[in-house]
Amino acid sequence: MKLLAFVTRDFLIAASYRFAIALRAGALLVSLLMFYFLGLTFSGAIAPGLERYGGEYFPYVLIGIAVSSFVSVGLHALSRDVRAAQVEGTLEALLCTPTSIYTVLLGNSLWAFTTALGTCCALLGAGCAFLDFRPDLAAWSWALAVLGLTFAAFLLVGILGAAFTMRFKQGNPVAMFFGTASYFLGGVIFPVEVLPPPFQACAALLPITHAVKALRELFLAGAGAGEIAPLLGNLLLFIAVMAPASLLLFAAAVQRARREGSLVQY
Amino acid sequence: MRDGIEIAHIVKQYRVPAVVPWRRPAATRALADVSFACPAGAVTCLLGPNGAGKTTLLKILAGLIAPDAGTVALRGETFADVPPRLRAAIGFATSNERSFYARLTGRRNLDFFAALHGMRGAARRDRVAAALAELELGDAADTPFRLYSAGMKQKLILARALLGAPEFLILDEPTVHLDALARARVRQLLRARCAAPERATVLLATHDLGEAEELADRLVVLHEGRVLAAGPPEALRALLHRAPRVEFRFAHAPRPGWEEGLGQRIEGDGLTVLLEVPDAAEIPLLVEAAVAAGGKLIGVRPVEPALLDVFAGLTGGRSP
Repeated sequence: MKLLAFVTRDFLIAASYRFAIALRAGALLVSLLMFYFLGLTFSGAIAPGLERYGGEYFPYVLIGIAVSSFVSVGLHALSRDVRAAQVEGTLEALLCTPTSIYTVLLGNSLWAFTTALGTCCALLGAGCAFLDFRPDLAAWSWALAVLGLTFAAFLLVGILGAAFTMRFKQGNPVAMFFGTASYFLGGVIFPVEVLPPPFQACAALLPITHAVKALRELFLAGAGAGEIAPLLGNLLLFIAVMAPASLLLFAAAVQRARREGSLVQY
Repeated sequence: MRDGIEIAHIVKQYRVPAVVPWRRPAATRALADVSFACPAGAVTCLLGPNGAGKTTLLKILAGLIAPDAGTVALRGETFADVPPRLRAAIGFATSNERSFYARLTGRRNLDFFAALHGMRGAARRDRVAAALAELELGDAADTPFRLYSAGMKQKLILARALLGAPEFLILDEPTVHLDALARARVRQLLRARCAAPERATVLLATHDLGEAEELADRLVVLHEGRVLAAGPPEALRALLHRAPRVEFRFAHAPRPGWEEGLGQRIEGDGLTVLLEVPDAAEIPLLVEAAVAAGGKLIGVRPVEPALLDVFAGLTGGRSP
């Protein structure tokens, strides 16, 4: 019920900025069309990494872009929300209610993740409706599982970033590292296989790599649960390692801010 | 029977970062061994000049700042740091008037915070409506918060603090932006909260001595992080150790010098005269002297020291 209150709040706030919504939708459409025409340009020139996924670039990159909307939310939304709450003075007001700090954190970011999921679905839907994207939907329930794990993984990355924001107010090394690495190494725009082996090893540490690959396997290669199980396992492993680190660091950052009296300093 | 708040030996220091990174941060003392009690069913007013440590103390009680040492007793339990589980029992009105969502209406803001207090459905709607009505915000309930005046924002902060019918009300300058009528309304509300059956414990920081005079059952004077005095207002007045003062009002002034040898004139040179007398027993003699000097006396009353005098005496002349 408390989480619903956060989502309702953020929906109402977002709905009050209609121009920004229209602008964001426009920007999304432009990037979608850009990759569509890029795909048309190289149509038929099959790269080795795309062979397994039907050889076309546009469906390949569409899935990468769709999943990457979670990346930006995880990397930026939580720390941005923590900072906004510090600047606005709402953080203290929230912490005066009988609501745990983690509910506050999750609640504050839930709308951003909801819009990320919406963006992801809208991109895939637009691709299906207008741009010849023909995914194999037989394993859609597993696709939802992949998206759920992707959400959890990037939520934890976001909590780690929020811990830095709570502690240092400005500067988020988590966003800097994961942001650059995810887009460069994660196989969003080009296959990981074209990278040199050391970079491929680094890519294996990123959740986006496994999330994007799992969805491509499901939607474009017609894979089943058994084939994506190792990828789900990798996502679960990332979550298992990241969860205690993120939660403990965030708790420590909040405790330190309470000791320093800096909860609303920015 | 409700317990109030007992604060014992609270200490808080802040680290102030140096301007240049190679210097060590300095430590500044916000609270030094602060102890006092706020009884249930009473209003305790916290007075102190700017920087006295009032807001730090209130935030410690609200669980927003962890103290370095000392304890807080609530509901008969003693804590080194107020735990989150007691937040439902504490209504904290911050002095930060921006602590709402600017794009949402007053009602939507309160509804959100009511949901975080665990209220649901019709009960939540009713409670929000009642809180808005209590603070006379009913007409502005559906206006976006960004369009509120400073006074309306402050009322909404109070409405939020009162939402959960808290047992402990911790208020940081709750009336600073309010007009006279609204202030009176808030005082009335706080009095009602202190009365049975709620018997809330109210701790209120204020710079307004008039408000403290009118509202406080107990006063605590904080200065440079220390409690200079605590107790009922009359006990604090007694701390001044000042000779009694008496005001004489005349329809016709007596001849000059009528009070000589009996009292010292503090102010007044015509129909109203304020005298300081060494002993209250000399007042009848002063009355006789005034009449003998041709004065037509219409009133005599003892004058209690104003809270401002008490405050100035305790803090060495700093403003509250």
